[in-house]
Amino acid sequence: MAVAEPIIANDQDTGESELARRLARTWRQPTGIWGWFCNTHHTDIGLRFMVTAFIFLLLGGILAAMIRLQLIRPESSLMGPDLYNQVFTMHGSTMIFLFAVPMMFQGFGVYIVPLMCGARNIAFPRLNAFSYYLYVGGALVLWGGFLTNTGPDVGWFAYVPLSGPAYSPGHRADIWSQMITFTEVSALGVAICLATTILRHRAPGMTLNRMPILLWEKLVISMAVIFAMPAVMVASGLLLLDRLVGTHFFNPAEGGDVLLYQHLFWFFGHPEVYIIFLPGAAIVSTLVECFSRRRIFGYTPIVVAVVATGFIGFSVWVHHMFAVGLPQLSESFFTAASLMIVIPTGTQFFCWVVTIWNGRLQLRLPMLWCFGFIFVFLIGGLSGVMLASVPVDLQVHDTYFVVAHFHYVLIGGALFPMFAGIYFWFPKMTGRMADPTLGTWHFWLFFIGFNLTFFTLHFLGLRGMPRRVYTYSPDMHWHWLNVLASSGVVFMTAGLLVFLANVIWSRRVGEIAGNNPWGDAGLEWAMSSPPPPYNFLHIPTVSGRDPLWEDPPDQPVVVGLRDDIRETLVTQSLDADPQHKDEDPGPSIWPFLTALTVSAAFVGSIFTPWAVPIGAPPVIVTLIGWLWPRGQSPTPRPGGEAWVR
Amino acid sequence: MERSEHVIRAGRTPWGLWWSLAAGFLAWSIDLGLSYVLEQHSCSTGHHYVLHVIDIVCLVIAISGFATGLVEFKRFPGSTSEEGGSPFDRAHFQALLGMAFSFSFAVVIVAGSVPRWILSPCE
Repeated sequence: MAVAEPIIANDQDTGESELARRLARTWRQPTGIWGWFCNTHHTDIGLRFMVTAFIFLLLGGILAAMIRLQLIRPESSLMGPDLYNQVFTMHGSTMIFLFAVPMMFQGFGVYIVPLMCGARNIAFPRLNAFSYYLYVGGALVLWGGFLTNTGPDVGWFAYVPLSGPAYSPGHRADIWSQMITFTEVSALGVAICLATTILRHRAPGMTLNRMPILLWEKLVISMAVIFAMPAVMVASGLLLLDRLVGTHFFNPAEGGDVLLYQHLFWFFGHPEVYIIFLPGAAIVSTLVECFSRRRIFGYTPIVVAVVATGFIGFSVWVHHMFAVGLPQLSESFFTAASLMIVIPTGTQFFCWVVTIWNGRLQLRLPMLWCFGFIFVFLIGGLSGVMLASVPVDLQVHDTYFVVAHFHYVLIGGALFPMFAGIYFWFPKMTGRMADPTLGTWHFWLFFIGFNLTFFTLHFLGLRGMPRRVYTYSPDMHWHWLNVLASSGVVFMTAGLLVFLANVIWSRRVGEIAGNNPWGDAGLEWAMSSPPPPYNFLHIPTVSGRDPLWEDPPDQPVVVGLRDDIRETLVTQSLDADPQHKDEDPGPSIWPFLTALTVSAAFVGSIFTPWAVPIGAPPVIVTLIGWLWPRGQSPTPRPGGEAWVR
Repeated sequence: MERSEHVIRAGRTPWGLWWSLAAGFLAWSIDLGLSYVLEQHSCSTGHHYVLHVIDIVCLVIAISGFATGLVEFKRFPGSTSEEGGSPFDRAHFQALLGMAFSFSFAVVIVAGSVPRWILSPCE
């Protein structure tokens, strides 16, 4: 409910503990199983995104281990070609759609962004909860298919004509297509929530030029998601129509175009790389500033670099298609763009290095992972520059060199910053510190294993080993390099087990963290750990880019928000001036029920087009339930106004 | 200064600044999109100059963004800073971003124009 005028504030005559008690009562989430499904608070939903995505990281990792086990010796009969096709498709799809984006964009974003903004909850919390359930629905569909021998087997990008009706009978490709719809609708929902939170729920004083780098990056990524995801949804939707209804969008015999699919897919696919990398860069920017004990060097150049990366990321997609026979001049345009994107990425690297160089570096555990990221991503970036060149790309196209490159980019860009971020915000999420000794073991095991596996793949690629082959002849002499690559998996697995042990151990008996154990400058450290259900006792105001470092002790706060209803403050998008108050809609079962009905319609449409008209009424009913007006909030008590005090 | 105070209010950005922020991206997108689309036409008709014309027009658009950003920047009071909390400071920051974007994308357009002098659209 939007109200034109700020209305009330009679908390001035009560103690802060009394206010905290009232706010806790007002903002509490329902408990029990029913309450779990009704919960719409961003910290809970963010954690769920992260835990669920981590489970899929483990599952995708098990598939990767199976791939390496299969390839450890020539002519292996551990897996047949059919199962191998499913396994590598599931590995790619799981890692990209069920782990990387949900973890790096949705999980961290949903948890951290409202806290960094100084807000009490994310904007559109029910849409946020709905997005989570839809993501889980997509994941269950994909893995349900795999466990019943209907797993997709057409690669994580499902190129036509291989994935078309002629070459992929059955429902394997349909399951992949609908998983895309699930997960992309989920990402779109979260993108809208995050962009709105950043633009309209920032604390007063946090003008555009004072936004933390992490918020800038999340805003750019949200916009990239909003513009990129529809392209792949169109691609998968048209593919589904070709397969289910008999349309010919991708059938050249009937006037269709297979290249259209590739264009649509990669128009999403390349920005996707930045949708995964930029959250990692955001985490690194935050951590480098904190552990260098100085303000980030080059705030404005970093913002320029982040926004430019978001834009240029949309114009390099054709470099994934250099081998399809496009005119040379066209390829050159995209070579130029692909090389140009090195400049903003290099700008960020430069600013991080200068910040560290000029600061007083504290080499704490999260920072170790940042250094790992800088090293690994740099190697991935350098091989990326090589692949942007058409002649090189044509030579190594579809070989393990490309596999090595994108694992350096994606694991460097996602996994290393993810662990850095988890160790950094673990105290905020749990109230306890992660064990640094176990964390250091985790780092070195994972770092050594990762480089052992993936650096070796460069050489396998240069020796001509193609991707997606389930076995190879001993005459190719790829055996020992494959043994070396597969041995790295042992280290990575050991590292992940140490991490899990650390999380379980530290969550129970780790050192108590306190509010701000790292002495960071962000607003997310201004409240207790873990955050109370209302996040901030008073909505803060800020007077600089690093609030907890710069703000004076008597920094004003916003007062006058009601404590008997879930009232939030809406501010102007450019200058963060208070504009009006809004009411958070609170817990509700309807997002979950709507996700159920939408999932049923999506799953049904894998098998019959009639699922759309049959599935629509339940969706409409649940949407009506969701949007049904609940009446006016209790009459506001007379009194003061919501102002900065 | 007086004029700046008139146009920069809380929550508002003068059109010149918006143009400065958008011109670089816009110019480069148009350059890349049109060049890609018109390459075949350029080959089949022999009008290779079309690709160069697109380049020049887009370069002018990007430079105009830089120029407007610079003009707006010079109109701010000397006391504004990159990270102050007033609408002036925020606009100061936006002007810096606008100039940086326009300049960067002008460079990208120039880089993208090089192959057009070397490669034929018909290859």
